[in-house]
Amino acid sequence: MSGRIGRRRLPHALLVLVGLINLVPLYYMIVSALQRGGQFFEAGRLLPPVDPAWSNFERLFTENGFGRLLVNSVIVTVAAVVAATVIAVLGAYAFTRIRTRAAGALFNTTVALLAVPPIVVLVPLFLLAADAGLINNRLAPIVIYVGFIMPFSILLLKNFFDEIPHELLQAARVEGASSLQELRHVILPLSRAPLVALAVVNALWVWNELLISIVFLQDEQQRTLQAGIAFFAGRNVVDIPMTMAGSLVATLPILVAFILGQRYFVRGLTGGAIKS
Amino acid sequence: MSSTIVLDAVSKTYANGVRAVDSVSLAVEAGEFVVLVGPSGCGKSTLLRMVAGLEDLTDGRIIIGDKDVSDVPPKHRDVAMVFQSYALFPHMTVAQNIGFGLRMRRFAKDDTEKRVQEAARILELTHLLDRRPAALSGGQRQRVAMGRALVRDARAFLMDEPLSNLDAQLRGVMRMELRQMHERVKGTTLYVTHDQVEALTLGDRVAVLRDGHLQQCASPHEIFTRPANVFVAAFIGSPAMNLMQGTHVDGSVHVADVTVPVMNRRHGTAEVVLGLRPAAFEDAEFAREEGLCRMRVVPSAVEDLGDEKHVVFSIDAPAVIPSELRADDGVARRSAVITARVHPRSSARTGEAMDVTFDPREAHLFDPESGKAMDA
Repeated sequence: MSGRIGRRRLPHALLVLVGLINLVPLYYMIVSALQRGGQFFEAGRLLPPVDPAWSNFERLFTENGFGRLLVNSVIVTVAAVVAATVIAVLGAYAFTRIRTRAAGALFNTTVALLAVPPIVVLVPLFLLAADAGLINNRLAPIVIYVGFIMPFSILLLKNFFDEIPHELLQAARVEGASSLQELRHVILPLSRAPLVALAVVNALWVWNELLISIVFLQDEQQRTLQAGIAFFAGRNVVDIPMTMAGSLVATLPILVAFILGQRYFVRGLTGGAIKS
Repeated sequence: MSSTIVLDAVSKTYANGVRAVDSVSLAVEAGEFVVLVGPSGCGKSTLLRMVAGLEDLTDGRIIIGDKDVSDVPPKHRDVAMVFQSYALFPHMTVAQNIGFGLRMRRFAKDDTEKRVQEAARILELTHLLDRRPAALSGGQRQRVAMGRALVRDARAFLMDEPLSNLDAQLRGVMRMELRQMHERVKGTTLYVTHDQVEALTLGDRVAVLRDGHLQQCASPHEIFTRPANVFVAAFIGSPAMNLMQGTHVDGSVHVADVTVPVMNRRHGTAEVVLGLRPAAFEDAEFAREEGLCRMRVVPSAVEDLGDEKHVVFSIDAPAVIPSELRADDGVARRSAVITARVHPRSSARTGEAMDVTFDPREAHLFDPESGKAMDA
């Protein structure tokens, strides 16, 4: 008995250690966000400041247009996630229903796109967007984000749809449901977990995306949060506490989304066992 | 609103070349209850799914009412189907499950409500209407599946082994309810089962399938008393008909050391298959009729069922068993094992020789080549 506990103690200690290491950057971010500009370069900056500079958060909005950045990010994220979810649902449903060789090839190609890193297609996309007059238009990153999150979204949803018992779908069809009715009344209600999980994962990625946002939205008025925060450093010399305060606030919405979606999260990502 | 169902030389060949259904023709009258029965893999479920529109036809036509539906998608066929797994929608309540088809067909809300209530009343589900399927017992789920089929007044009911997930006792009850339901609703029904008791008790007619071929379609009585071939004879009836090889010589059949006089006045010598139902036998001590054949046997087993006894013995004649129905490794046994149903007070004992009789008028004769019944 004691042997078993002893054997478990070591892995647990390791897990706790890894967990703490993971929390260090977060701690550092919080502590730094509360320093005053000059303090940051003094000794003892890793300790909580004696008089925390709560005003940093106020300055985010008053001096740095943080509100505008926040609104831009929300617009881009919501638009991209909603569009991606709608398209991925329809696409995954089509791949579930249509079992031809051509459809299989198309599906495999779609999934293979997971392996393409954004930076590889950045220049061609930029040229395309320039031709279409979409530079500094939020539509450009939205469309590009939808494209990048599509392969994973379709893969996840199709795997889940495939596990819905065939007889349920056949019953729906015999009962007179059209394809869209079958999707709406049977498949989607049974797929809440993966849909929520997918929306959270996608929102997380879009919200945190920097490269595409910085390249396609060069106008300050259009910038998203991550891009805007990146520019804090360049403009006002190096105001690390301000950057950290911005990052901290930028983390909050996504943290909330994650906590709210957590219930569905593991269930959605680990596949689709349906209670029969 | 029940319609006729006509299957006209319907065939199904799968992409891998397997011919699951081979030119089956069958006409189901309006309001008739026809049972498709056969061993697993005989194509009965495939055939049913073809009627539902869930499988494409390779050849032939399916006509429901006066409409050729061969290429019509399931939702426009207006048939109702009960699946083996019930296929209830887990996220809907019982009421929503029953009313699903009506909602899809855009029935008015109050009409839907009224029909769901009516179906629930008939099936005694009224108190369960707000529950989800997960909170129901097997029998209740089965009823909900029936309700979903009933509520729509469909042109035909298709049932794919709807009772096979229930335990034996409940199955018996539901079987009776199903039959009563049919008497009341009189909907055209095509019912698939591998259980011959279900087939005989439920069907107005029984269609026996083997390897995708229709063997015989007739009333339960005719299927039992006049099987068209060896397969039907062996498949229908429990315990199964005893089939053995014999030699037909001028109006009698010689099996082992017994001579069985038969009606068939064919001349000359020919091999035949002789079939005798267990009920054709009797312990000689209890046999009163005239003209019985008698033989001396040594029982290898005696089963006492209370109201009857089954005596099992071998005779010195080759057994005939269709390949799908063989319980052993498929090797033909040299001597036929006979099961005889005898009087419950018979003193038959394992290992003790006894006399049994059988009635030669109940003998079935089959052609050993084609397996077909020979005219009596």
